[in-house]
Amino acid sequence: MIAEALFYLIVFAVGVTIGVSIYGIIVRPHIVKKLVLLTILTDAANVMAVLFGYYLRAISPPVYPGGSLEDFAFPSSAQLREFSSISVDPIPQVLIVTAIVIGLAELIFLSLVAYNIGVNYKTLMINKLEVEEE
Amino acid sequence: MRSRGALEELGLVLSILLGVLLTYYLVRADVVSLTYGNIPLANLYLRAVPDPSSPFTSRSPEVVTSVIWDQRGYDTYFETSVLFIAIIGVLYLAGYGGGQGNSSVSTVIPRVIAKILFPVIVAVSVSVALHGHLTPGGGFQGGSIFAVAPFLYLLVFGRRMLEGKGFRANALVFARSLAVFLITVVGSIVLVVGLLTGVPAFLFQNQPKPQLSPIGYPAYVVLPWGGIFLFSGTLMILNVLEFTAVSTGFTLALVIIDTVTGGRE
Repeated sequence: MIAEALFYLIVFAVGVTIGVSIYGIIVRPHIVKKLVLLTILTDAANVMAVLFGYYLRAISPPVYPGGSLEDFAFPSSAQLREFSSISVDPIPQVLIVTAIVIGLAELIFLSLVAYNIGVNYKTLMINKLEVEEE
Repeated sequence: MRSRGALEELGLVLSILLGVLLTYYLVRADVVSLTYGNIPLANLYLRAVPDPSSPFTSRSPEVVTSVIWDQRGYDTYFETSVLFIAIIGVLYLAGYGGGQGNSSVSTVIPRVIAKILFPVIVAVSVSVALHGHLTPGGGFQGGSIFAVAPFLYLLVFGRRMLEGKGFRANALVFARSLAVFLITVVGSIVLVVGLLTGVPAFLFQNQPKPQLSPIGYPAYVVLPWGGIFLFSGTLMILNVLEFTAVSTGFTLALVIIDTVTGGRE
């Protein structure tokens, strides 16, 4: 009972984090704050995706036990059926691994863009940037 | 000014409400659930990957790495390309090379700790990447861990010391491009062999698939002294290449950002 309550509390906290970071990305005018909140949004979405794959009977990571470089006994289909009933869902983890690397690439690129804006316009506030009109 | 503040508060309340509604519907639809078991697609992957009699097998106990590099190989390849292009974009924006390395101002404690930790981090990351087809981990994870070590050196000793260790921008760009190119070669070599010998084959194919394609990589090699060396076809090769690509890419980005922003004062 306590475990279930804690689980749903975590899900709720992650959902609120997603909402607040979307608010910050839209409303806060400072570019670095937008970048920090974008990172928080990415991580919260990733944690949410990990929670998709979890359920109470899942006690094993999606790795069949007993593998080594020298020896691996390939399992039978009954063993595999049992393994798939106690393992967490591998698909969210697969998506997250790629999402993390893409998020980092995006963050590196955006931080360089933000640095160039800061050097060229002497401000990082979006509402102080002005478009020169002819 | 007062109305603007009220508007922002309204936005905050609305976005918290958005988060609550998101949570509510995810729980309501059993997407986040403690009793609902795995979805059929997850069961398909979990049962097919370690099973040598399945047509979708990778002969590897690690389902996550296997799905990344075998069942969803295209996706991962283009994801690697995204990282590659992002780093190239950073190089273009930053105007690459140039800049002076500066002397360090760290005291003896971070210096000693960094020197002790550097080989430990490298050993852990290489282990995570090399055993990626057997234990949790893989090329991405190992590469990301590895990038911590040059970052530590950059913070403690400055860029000059890092370049003395061999992490020069030119060498990093070369290693990164070579790794991405070799991933392409490894992914297409089965298709090329299939075209030359006239049998059907797929891009990013790992194991032979009965009734579809009779050729593929071997799952293990028998060593001369009798044991076997299990590398699960392309999985271990691609993990090592991806480890090179990700670790050099992140190190390169750190070096470039350090160059542009002038390093530590």
